[in-house]
Amino acid sequence: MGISVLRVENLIKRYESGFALDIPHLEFQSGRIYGLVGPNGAGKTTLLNLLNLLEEPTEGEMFFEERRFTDLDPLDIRRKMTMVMENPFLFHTTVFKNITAGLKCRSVDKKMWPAMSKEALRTVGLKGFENRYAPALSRGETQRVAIARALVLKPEVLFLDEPFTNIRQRDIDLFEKLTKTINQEYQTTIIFTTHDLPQAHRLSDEVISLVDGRIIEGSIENLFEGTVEEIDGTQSVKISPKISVSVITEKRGKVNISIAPREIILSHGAIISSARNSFKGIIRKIQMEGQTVIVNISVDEEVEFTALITETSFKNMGLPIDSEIYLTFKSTSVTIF
Amino acid sequence: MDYILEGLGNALKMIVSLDSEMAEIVFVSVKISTISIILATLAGVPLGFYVAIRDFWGKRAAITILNTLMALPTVVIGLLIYSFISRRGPLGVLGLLYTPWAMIIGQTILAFPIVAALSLSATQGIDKRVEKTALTLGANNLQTALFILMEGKFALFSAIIAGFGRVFAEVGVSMMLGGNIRGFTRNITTAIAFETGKGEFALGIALGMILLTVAFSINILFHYFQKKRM
Repeated sequence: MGISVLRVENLIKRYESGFALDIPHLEFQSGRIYGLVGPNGAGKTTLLNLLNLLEEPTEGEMFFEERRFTDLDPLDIRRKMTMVMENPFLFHTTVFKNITAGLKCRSVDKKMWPAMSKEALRTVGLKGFENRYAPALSRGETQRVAIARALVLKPEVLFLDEPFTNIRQRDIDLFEKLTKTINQEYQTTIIFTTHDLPQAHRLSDEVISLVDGRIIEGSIENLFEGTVEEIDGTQSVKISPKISVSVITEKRGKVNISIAPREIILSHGAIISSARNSFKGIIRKIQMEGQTVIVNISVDEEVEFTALITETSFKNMGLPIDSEIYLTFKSTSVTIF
Repeated sequence: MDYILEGLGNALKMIVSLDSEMAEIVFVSVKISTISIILATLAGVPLGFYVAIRDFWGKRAAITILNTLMALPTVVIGLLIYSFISRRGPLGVLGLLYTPWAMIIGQTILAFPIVAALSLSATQGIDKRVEKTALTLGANNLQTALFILMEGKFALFSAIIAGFGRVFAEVGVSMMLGGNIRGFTRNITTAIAFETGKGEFALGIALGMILLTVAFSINILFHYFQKKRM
């Protein structure tokens, strides 16, 4: 277990739009990789901005290596961390000048710049790119230069905001390897945001799920919003005009529900069991993830569920795309928040 | 028609032989306009930059005022400054009237809103990610401002060049505050007006050609920086 590098207590950030990020407690240990997952607007980028001192919290306290942010010089803290944005901006100059921009801010001896730049470019696989004009680079190269620019600063914490969006699959594989390499070679704590839960699990030591500005314990896949209804003493959540999910809850009104993909049972026909949720759907997408297979099923063309089955089950069942399938899960498998 | 052709011929001769009177007039123009644009830049660029990046009460009104002042007539500026620096005015004791400094003050006031308003729009046009990128790289406030300015340098050069073009070609301020004193405050525009009045076309046309060349060069530079900005 590493030491606490960042910690937040009762952190609240409110916006005029009504959105609020509300995190009672969250801690990041040094040298680990954290994946922040959640849908758009969940507050992932807001949290990164707060931790990187790019925004000020409305309430709450933040700690860097167990010292209050308010007791430290904000510039000193910011210089121990850096962030690569979702759509990184490269200055209209050479790759070398981009990479050394942060060194210039820190007044690092100019003689050291070429070697440091060379090393960072080597790590991201862009050896010899120093004199290229940065804005003329491809999307993947831009992302890599942005990472090299962050890496050259040898930050204690590296924030990566949606680093894997809008880039080719080949580059995604490369970036995933790169993230691991940076963490291992530089002992950097990495906190990245993503929509892709399997990727978050693949890369991170810990996955943190954010929904509507709050950290949730349940899965963020199969996440739906709906209203609790009670019919004949049983509760259900209406998640679309035709689909209601049986649940067990004391809550009323609007709620969010989630069903962990591994809790969903797939079958060719309807099965008689104690599980109260059973829907017929059509397989829309199949994705192999090592020993497991992620299956996306559309129900009534309204709602899409994600199920996780083993590779063996997948092979035995024979599940072609666009075929009919039944999905079943228990009311107790539904997390409500 | 002959007198125009004769004037044109003599004008070309004056330009080729670098006529001393003509050179002196051009030098006064360049000197006064350059000092004016430097002063207007020192005040206008930071102001435009500040208004663009900071939110404050009355920001919209400030932008409207700056944009309106861009169209300020030169004679109004001339009149205003004249009333202050004439012998009876509150600054009369300084003896600035009919000196190059009076022209510099007038031209600075003329160029200032142009430089400020165009710098403002130039800064607003800079990618919003520049500031955030600078901060994530550990830049302090001054370094962040420099990063933003560097990204907008071509647009800012355009603003300065537009201001220079305006002051170099103006006649109202120079005439009213400089007084067109030979070898002292006589610049290209006041000399053209004066020589034309005398019926001496050769010097007027020669200076007109120089003025047009400068205006043309300024336009080329302006468009060059505008393109670079893209």
